[in-house]
Order: sequence, then C-alpha cells, then structure tokens
Amino acid sequence: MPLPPRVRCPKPDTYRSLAPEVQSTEAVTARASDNGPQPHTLLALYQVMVMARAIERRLWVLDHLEPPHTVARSLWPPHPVGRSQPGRKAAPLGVGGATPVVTGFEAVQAAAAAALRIGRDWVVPCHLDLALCLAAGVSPLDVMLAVFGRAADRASAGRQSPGAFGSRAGRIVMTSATAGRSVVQAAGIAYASKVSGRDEVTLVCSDERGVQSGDWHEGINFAGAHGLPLICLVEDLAGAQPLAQSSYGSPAARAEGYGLASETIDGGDFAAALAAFERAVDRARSRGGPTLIHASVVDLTSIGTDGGMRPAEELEALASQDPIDRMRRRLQGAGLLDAAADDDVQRECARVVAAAVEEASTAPSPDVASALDNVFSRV
Amino acid sequence: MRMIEAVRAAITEEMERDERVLVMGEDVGRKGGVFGATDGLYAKFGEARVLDTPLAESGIVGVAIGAALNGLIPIAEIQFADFIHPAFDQIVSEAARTRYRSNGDWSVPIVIRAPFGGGVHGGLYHSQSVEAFYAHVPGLKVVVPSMPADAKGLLKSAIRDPDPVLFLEHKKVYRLVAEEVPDGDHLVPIGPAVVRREGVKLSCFAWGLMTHYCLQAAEQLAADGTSVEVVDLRCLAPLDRDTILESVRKTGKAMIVHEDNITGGFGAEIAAIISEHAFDSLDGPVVRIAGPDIPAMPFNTPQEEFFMPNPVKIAEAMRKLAAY
Repeated sequence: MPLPPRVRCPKPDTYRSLAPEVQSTEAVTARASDNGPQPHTLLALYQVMVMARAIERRLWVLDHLEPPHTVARSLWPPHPVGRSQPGRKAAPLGVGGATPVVTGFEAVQAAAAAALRIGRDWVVPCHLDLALCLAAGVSPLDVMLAVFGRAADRASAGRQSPGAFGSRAGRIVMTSATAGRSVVQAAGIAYASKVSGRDEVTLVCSDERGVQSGDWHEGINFAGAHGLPLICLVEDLAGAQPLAQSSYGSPAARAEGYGLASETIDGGDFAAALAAFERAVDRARSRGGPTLIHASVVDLTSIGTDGGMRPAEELEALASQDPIDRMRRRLQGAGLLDAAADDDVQRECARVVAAAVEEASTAPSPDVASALDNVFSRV
Repeated sequence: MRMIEAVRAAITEEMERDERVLVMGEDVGRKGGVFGATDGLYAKFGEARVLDTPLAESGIVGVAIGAALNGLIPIAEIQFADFIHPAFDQIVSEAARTRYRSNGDWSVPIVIRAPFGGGVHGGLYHSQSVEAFYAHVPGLKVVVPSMPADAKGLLKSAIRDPDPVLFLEHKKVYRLVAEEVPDGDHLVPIGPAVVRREGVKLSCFAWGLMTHYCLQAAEQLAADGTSVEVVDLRCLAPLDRDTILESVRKTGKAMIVHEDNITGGFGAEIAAIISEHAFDSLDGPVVRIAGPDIPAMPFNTPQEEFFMPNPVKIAEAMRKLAAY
C-alpha cells in the first residue's frame, strides 16, 4: 500500500473533523470487518492517541511546575490509586502531585470510538476517557478551557471539575464524579433508544472501582433484563487496586450473571479492542443485547505500587507495551506511516496543545453573577 | 373525584397527549401501583410505556434520568417515600444538578412521584415525610398537593416542566376528600400557594394532609369567634414567599404545621423567612406544630397518634397563639 500524503495533525478547530456536525461519521467508523478501517481513519485515530498523551503530559507539567493558581488545580487527570507521591510537595488544594493514569487507555478508547457512529450513538464517559472524547469531538482547547475553569468551557463554563466531558450536540453525556452512578443512566438512555425504535448504541465507561458500586449493578441488571443496546466498558489499570479493594471475580464474570455478553481484552491492542467493540456494536444493533468489555491496560507510569520509583529497566520493558507505540508499529508495518510523518504528528500535537494552553490561560473566567444561572430553566 | 383518581387522570391525559411520557416504578404495570395510581395504564399504553422495574430505587431514578437525556419524559414512581433514600444521590447529585453543571446544555425533565406521610398505621417505613431533604436542593422542584384538583393540575404541570420535580402525594389524602376536578387541560402552575381560608387573627401554613387538619382546626376556632387564615403552600420549591409574607403582615401571627419531625423540618425555613422579612409585623412568636424528634412514626396506635399533629392539637396551639 503506498504511503498517503504526509500526515498533518489537525489544528484545534479542525480537530473536530471527527465530530458529527462537520463530517459524515461513515469515514470515521469504517468497519474492520469490511477489510478494516480505512487508512485515513487509522491515522486519525493514531493522532487522537498522540494528542491525548500530549495533553496529559502538558497537564502534568501544569499541575506540578507552573506557578500556583495559574490553572484550576484539580483532581484530574486522576492519580494512581493508593499511591503516595514521594518527594512532591502538596498542591495548593491539597490534592498532592499527580502522575496521570490516563496513559495506557488510548488504544481501547480510540477503538471504541471507531466502532461507534459518533454523534448518533451515545457516549457516557468517565474521568479516564480523554482519548475517547477527543475522538468524539472534544477539542484540545475544550480540554484546556475546562482545566483553567474558563467561561468559554463549552461543557460546563468552568463549573465542573476538569475531565467531565460533555456535549449534547455530540451525544457525549456529562457525568459526575462517580463512575458507577452513570451506568444506570446509560441504561436509561439505551432504554429510550430501544422503545423509540432507534438503532442507537450507548457506550458507558467506568474504571474498575466503578464496578463495585451499587448503581453499576443496578444498571447492568436493568440492561440485561431488557436486552438493551448498551456496551459497558470497564477500564482497568492492572495492579492499580490492592486486592482487598478489588472485585471478587472478574467484571466479565459478573456481567454474565446479569445476562450480558462479555469479553476480556488487552486494552493496549487496538486491533483486538476494535474487533471486540465491533462485535458488541453488532450485537446491540441487531437487538442481541448488551455487552461488557473488560479492558486491562499496563500501568506505564514511573511510580510503583509502594510509592517508590520503578526501576528504569522495568519501565523500559513496559515501554514496548505502550499502546501508542504498538499502534505506531502497526501503522508503520502497514506502510501508512513513516518516521518523518510520525515526527510531524508529534510536533503538531505538541503545537496544538501549547496553543490551547496559551489561549485558555488568557481566556476570561466566568462572571461571578453567572454562578446563579441555569439552576432552573428560564422557560 | 378523589386525589388518587386525579393523579391517574393527569398521567393518563399526559400520556395520551405526548407519546414521550412513560411511567416506571415498582408494580406500576400489571398491578397498577400499590395505591392504584397507575391502574389501567398498562393495558392502555403497553409494557414499554408502563414499566415495572426492579426493586431498586436508585436504579429507577437513574434509568429515568437517562431516558430523559435521550428525549423521553419519565414519571418515576417511588412506591413509598420512605424508600426514596437509595435514590437520594441520583436525585440530588444528578437530576437536580445536570442543568447547572452543564451550564444549561443538558436538562432532566422527570417527575418523581412518591406517596408520603402517616396516620395510616404504616409504621417506621411507610409513614415518613421527606420533603425537607429535597426542598433544600437547588435545581429540584418539590410539589405537595392537598386537593384533588390541584393534584391533577400540578402533576400535569410537573410532567410538562423542563426540570426535575419531586411530587409528593399524601397517602391518607388519596381517598380522604373528593371535589370537582376540571376535565381536560387543567393546569395549575408550580409555585403559587393558595389561601384556603381567609382570616385575620393568625396565619397557618401547611401542605398535604396537614392542610385539611388546619382547616378543621380553623373551623373549630371560628366557632369560638377566632378568625384563622389557612394557606396551602402546595409547592415547597419554588416557595411562594410573597403569599406567606402578605398573610403574616395581615394577621401578625404565624404558625407552620407539618408532620415531619420538628428539627430541621421545612417549617424552620418558613419561620426564618418570616422573621427576616416580616419581623416588624409580628405580634407573637412564630410557632411550629410538628412531629417529635424521634426517628420515625411508630406503628402502634397511641404512639402514632402521639407523633401526628391532628385538628385537636392544632386547634389548641391556635388558641394559645391567638391569645398571645
């Protein structure tokens, strides 16, 4: 296959090329079963993954190194569960230093987006779903406006803690701070789709901890009982949870008890993830009922479970499992990406993120008086 | 028409008017609801729109929220208000907050119906009054009708409201009184209180069953020559402050009557409003008649009667306040 023209990472305003309002979703959701995703789709998804990583790294710098109060210090990106941060001073809000753990989830989220009809299907994300939401139409500037708590934050006007993505036009449902709570709501969304006779699919995401909440169980119980077109993605950072806080038995086994189909996948393997999501989407659209996908990913961060730094050789060994590197190798192997094009992607993503930070950091905060707006409808 | 039939009429008419409206809850379908509020709807509208749910209140409200996000207008029934607490999080942190946290992008047009209140030997878990918990929550409307016509008109308004509404129906009032209820599109706006009985000596504020007890007590005082004004608040959120203050400024004395236990009950909020905004008009202490501060209403008859305000207790308090 000949190399496509050199890849250009889209500018912030055109990053919405994946969003429904400016482009047919058909190109983005080209199906693997039809000889796999189209080259430009794969490359766009790779760009999303790289962009997510670039955003995350920039946020880490902002959260740790920038002067206090330049950003709305936040709980997002989330921190490794149960890990101390040796050598780090406490952040102003007492949050503590943050090593993001969004890293590692990029491939499974890109695959989920690829299997859905973005803008027609429903996405109910959790705090981990940066790459998913970028693929669904959230821009890097949107992310940064939320991080800085700015008035122009389209999801929330700076009200909700960063990482709570939402867009009614894009059918990205803004959720709250508790992952399991949204699963019953997603079941309600899927119920409405079913009884309205629309072939929409709803994807709801949670981390492994969300699986332990009552709402998660009530949600998948309802979905199983009604055979709803729902996909429940459990995003599991391997080793993040002490055993005593983990579920007894796998999420997939639990889901089967509620009548859901289930799959356990390597969340760092884009192709495997895409195939799993496509099966789940097909099942949902053909009224075959809900599916749980339990995606485990490798923890690529440098802090070990004991709070200390992990050995360099251990991190180097893990690097080969980085989902972005795996995707890059896949694209290179298919002749879709060369080193120069990849450099362009990396540089352009960094530039876009830097521009988003610059714009967001100088954007105005909301008026104090607007704190009283939108408690109730004005109608 | 009694209140239970008025509730059923409102739901039926709204489901006929708008196919997006659906009912969900425990036993609302084939059984027609534990009080019969949805009797006949399953046969008329089918399983998809009259949905029997698992016995899981958080799930009921959460599913209703999701269905609303996707274009439907759910009426979620909580079989008894006593069992609404597992759904507190979905109601308070989700339904009531969705419009605000999305700066108006999303809204949750749902109605949560819940029979509440005591005096029916319901015991600790079938007698509670929960309005104070929810009237505290910005973004949530709390409606408590006391009369059949209001029940129909307010419920129809609630179903058409773009924001979440908690609709509390006193289970003893369901079949307590009957009155003419207008046919068809009878709408009562959410917010305004109504003066059920005009008076000049003192003002009495109530909702639900207590409105009826206050009216009976006021009738007793009228026989003694004491004129009592009874205001049926009907809605606790939004609260009709103007009608409350106007009444107090006229009579100079205020009494609030509710079944919920007294400490932190909604009467405290009304008393605070009166003391802040009508202090100069007061000619006596603001009085609250309410349940005692015990965890819930006992099942046995003497202690249930001890817990519940009734016309005798209310009349006694009215006489004392009138003489102050």
